[in-house]
Amino acid sequence: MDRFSQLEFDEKSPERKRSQGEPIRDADYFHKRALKYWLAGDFELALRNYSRALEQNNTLFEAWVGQVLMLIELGEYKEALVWADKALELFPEHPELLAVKAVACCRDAKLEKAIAYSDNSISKDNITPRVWLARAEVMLGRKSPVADNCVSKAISIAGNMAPVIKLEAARLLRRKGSYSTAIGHLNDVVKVFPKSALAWCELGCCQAKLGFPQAKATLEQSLKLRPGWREAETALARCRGRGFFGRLFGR
Amino acid sequence: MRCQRCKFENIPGQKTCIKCGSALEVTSTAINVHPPRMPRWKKPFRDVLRSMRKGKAIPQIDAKSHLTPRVKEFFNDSFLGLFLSIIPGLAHWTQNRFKEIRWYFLAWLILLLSGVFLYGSAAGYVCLGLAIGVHAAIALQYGILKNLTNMSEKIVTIILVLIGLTFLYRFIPRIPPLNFDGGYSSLTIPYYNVEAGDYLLTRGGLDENDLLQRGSLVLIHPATFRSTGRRDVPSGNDTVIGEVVGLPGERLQIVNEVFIVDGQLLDVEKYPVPQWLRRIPFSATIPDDSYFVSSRYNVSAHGVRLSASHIEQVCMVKTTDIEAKAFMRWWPLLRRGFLR
Repeated sequence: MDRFSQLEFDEKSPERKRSQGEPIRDADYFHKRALKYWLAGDFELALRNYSRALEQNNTLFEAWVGQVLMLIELGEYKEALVWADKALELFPEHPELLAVKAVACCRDAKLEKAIAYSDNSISKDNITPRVWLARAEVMLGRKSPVADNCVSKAISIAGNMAPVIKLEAARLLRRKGSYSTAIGHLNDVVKVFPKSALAWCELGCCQAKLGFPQAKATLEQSLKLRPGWREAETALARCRGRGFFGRLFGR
Repeated sequence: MRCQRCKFENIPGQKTCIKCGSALEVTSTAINVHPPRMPRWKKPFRDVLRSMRKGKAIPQIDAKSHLTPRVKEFFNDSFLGLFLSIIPGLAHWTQNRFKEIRWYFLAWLILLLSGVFLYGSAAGYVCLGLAIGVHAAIALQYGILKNLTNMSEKIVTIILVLIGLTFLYRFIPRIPPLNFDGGYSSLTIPYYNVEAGDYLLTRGGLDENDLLQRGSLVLIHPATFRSTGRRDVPSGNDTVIGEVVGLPGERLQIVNEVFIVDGQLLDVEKYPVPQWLRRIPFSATIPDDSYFVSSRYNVSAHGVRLSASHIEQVCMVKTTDIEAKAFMRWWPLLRRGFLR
């Protein structure tokens, strides 16, 4: 114990450190945690946290959309569509839910349906950035040059959500091979979310594709933030020039 | 109560938004908030279906966009489509229409593989027949039938396409370097584990310089024994599988149901004497350009009185008349394997 800690002065008494205590586990808490896990690239845990957020408050729209998005990330497109339909019962004709349905259809190689959902979503009022991102994805599926404009539009109306939307846009652009544009967005994202393993991993992958020497360090940073992440490890191994057989035999 | 969707300020206590109908507050009735999940075993199946939907079994290239209108017109020609459909789906693929026939293509592939696997059996022939039918459907679906208005023209076209494809399927395996062919064995040879009726796979491309060994099973054409000048002697088979017993220049005898070559008895298990050869005493020297090929030939079925000269004419097979050499028992499946 400090010798002088109990001394009294004329001025204010020294403030004691307050114990922070347990955080209130309300819907917002789980929603933030879900976002945190998404930024870490752990879609399974993010999905669980979205579900827990909805257990607390089933009118939390972001959590419904988040659940559908996580199902899409996990490759469960049919389930994502079922769940989007369920969310649409609570939020009828919501453009964002229609947009995520378009994304699910697009990734499930049902382009006609995806276009229909995207057309429907974009015709509504209160269009969110994700609607434009979905539009961009559908347009990229059709190999339309309009896709880039849709991405720009999504980012321009994102407001506070800009880093998140930029990350999503960058992931979309990477999937479609526009690595240099994706790097531009990801550089902004990692400044805002320096602890996002997902953002670092995406950045590293893009850099590796373009042959940038810093790709290795970027991917290592991603692994440092989320040790043992398979996707980052695979990307790093590929970056180090280890082919399939090299990884198979541990050479 | 502010609506999350349309931002409309609702009256407190309202459960759904007056303007857009979205839920405003936690409903008393329990809502399942846990999404359905995909069982892991479904993933590979869905992946396969997805890749088929994408039509990326064959990568899509937008060939049309780089072509001039005249070339496009040429590619759109249904006859060219028919020609390109020699490879199923190729014509559709060049026009980015592969999706239209993707299920046909899959069915064709399955039937073809099944047909090849079961070749030599009735089921194998049925599968191959169906594969030809599906192939024809793919070729005709491209557009040639649409251009024909007359029903009789359509029927003739369908028949011609079917005949053409049947020939194609018959002769493609014979194209070098594959040179595959086959035939049913008419002999039971215990040494080779071959029984009468087994389908043996052969490989052609033998020329005069290829020396056959004693005991080789070879595919010979009926032209070999039509040259006897007696039309009633050979059977109506296209090809016959026989066993090389005597080599050029050797003296061959058949005595007491055993082959004797240059005075040495041959193993009966390895060189069985067919029934029809047992009746006639035979002794001859094999010419330098021929082999003595033992087979059933169905000669006795016609009740022709045979002599040693007939045997000589039928069984002495010239090197040029030997089409291929058997290397594998293909059917029945249980005994499938390479010959010793």
